[in-house]
Amino acid sequence: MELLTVAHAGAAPWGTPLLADIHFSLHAGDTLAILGPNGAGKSTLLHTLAGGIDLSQGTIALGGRSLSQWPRLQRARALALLPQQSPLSFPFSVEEVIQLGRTPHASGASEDRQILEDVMAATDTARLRQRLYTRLSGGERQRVQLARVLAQLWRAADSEVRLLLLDEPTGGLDLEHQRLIMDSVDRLARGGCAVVMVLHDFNLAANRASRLLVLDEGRQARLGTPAEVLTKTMFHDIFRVQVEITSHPQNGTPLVLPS
Amino acid sequence: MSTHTPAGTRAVLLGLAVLLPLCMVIALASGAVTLSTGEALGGLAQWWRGEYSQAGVIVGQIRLPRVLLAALVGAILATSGAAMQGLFRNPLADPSLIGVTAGASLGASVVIVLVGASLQGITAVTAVSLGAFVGGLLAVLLVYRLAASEAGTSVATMLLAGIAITALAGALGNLLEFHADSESLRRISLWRMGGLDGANSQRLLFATAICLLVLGALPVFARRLNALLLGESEARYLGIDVEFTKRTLIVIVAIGVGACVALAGTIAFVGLVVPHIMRMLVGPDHRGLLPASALAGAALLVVADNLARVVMAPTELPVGIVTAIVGVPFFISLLRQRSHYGMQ
Repeated sequence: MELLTVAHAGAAPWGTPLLADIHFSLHAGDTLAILGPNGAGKSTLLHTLAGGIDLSQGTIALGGRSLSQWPRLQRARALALLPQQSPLSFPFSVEEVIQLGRTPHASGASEDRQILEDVMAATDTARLRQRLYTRLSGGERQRVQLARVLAQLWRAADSEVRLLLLDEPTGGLDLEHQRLIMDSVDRLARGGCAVVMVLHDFNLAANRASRLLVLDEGRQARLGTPAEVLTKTMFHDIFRVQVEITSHPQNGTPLVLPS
Repeated sequence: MSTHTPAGTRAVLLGLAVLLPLCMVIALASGAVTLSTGEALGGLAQWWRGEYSQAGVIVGQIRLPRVLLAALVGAILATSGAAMQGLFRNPLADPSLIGVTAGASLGASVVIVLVGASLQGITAVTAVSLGAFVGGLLAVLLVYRLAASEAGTSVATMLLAGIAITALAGALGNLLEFHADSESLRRISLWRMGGLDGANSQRLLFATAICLLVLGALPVFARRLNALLLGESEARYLGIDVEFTKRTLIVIVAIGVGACVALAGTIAFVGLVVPHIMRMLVGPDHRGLLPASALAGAALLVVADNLARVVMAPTELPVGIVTAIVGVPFFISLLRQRSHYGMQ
């Protein structure tokens, strides 16, 4: 069964249409990367998938049920979104911020404790645990927010379907942490969670996502495997740049070189 | 800078739970007739048994209602302040920001000018309280209507609307004063400065009911307030019914603060400074912050009212002046040291 079915979806949160005719589906374990120029509607699409922006046309079904018909709490157990920026300005400790990810669950303190340890290990935030969130650097905050979102979906027992939505999860992270974070995302996907992430790094997307979706001015311009999508004509038509495409020496995925 | 632990929060709550009765006993003992702590407690016991000794009458009939009213009003103001700061995600938010105080002031002024001269004693006090209460509620409803749209309530719009309503209520109040006679003017200005000297059993009953409502309802929202600190859409993705939470909190705070203004006039800075200090001690988690603010707010207002009674005895200062004089320097020092405890 399809985990997420998006059929001709459109959204116009402030009257003007920002998304139109988005059409794709995901199975458990799929990872989809959303790419596109600035202002193409990537974040809007992510928030629409999370139910934060109402549809103006089409449908989105999660686990066979229309997204808007999910009860609030059940939906929060099934899908989590990492925003691009978080406005938290109160001095919570890192542990407290991550524990907020367990808000929709009633799994008990000891279970939550174990999940906290697991996600802190997965995001390398264990040594920050007693620090105040407001005193962290941008990259550290990003990892803590990611740990919070992972904690929300960490346990397969919490929901039959799980959908993780990440808006630029590697923004501001060094290479080592980028890799660590993407490994954690892979791990969740192998456990049956579907993942949709907005990425800016084409090579990271080619390496880590099973499919790519390219948005252009709110429309779905391309959808397919990395090899199908990352072509010279696509870059010329949508990003208006000339690139060279070779293949990765180790795993054969497309490698994009700006020229 | 270490962070806050559950054990630390329990210690702070325990300390405050000891401090509050201590402050109340000291307040019962001090005043125009100074009693020792033992005499005050003895007098209280005699009054309780129905023996009308001199100490019993002073402590039980004069001082006790006032001390209890101070504690109740302080608890309501501080807890409401903590909830508003969480809701607005702004540590500098104050219940008066959403227009309650200004609306209540105007409501009271209207009653004083229109009917103040014809009513005397307890009826006048009750009518003024009712006017303040209704004025406060109307103001916050108006602010809420201005800020609410189909897409939800915008916090920024609400703050701006609160400022606008405050200015409008202030202007209307000034207009009223322009036409008021000098007796009404005096009453308005006295009432505005705040005071707990009108404490009696009816007011205590009213304050107790409101306090039970506020202290009973707000902690139910503690976890939701924590999630709201992450941002409204983040809270929504965590399964919080954000619109319901905001609407309910605003109504509870409007009732609580409106009632406080009605009972004791405008008492500055308790709702702002107390949650601030408590956040430094127990952290921003509302499960600890709300009860700690209630206890500390109660203790602070008992102490402030005690100072108001004894500093220039036999003349009494309005308690609002004391809280402002103590609160402002403290608040300014907090502003300057904000970065020291991780607030941005």
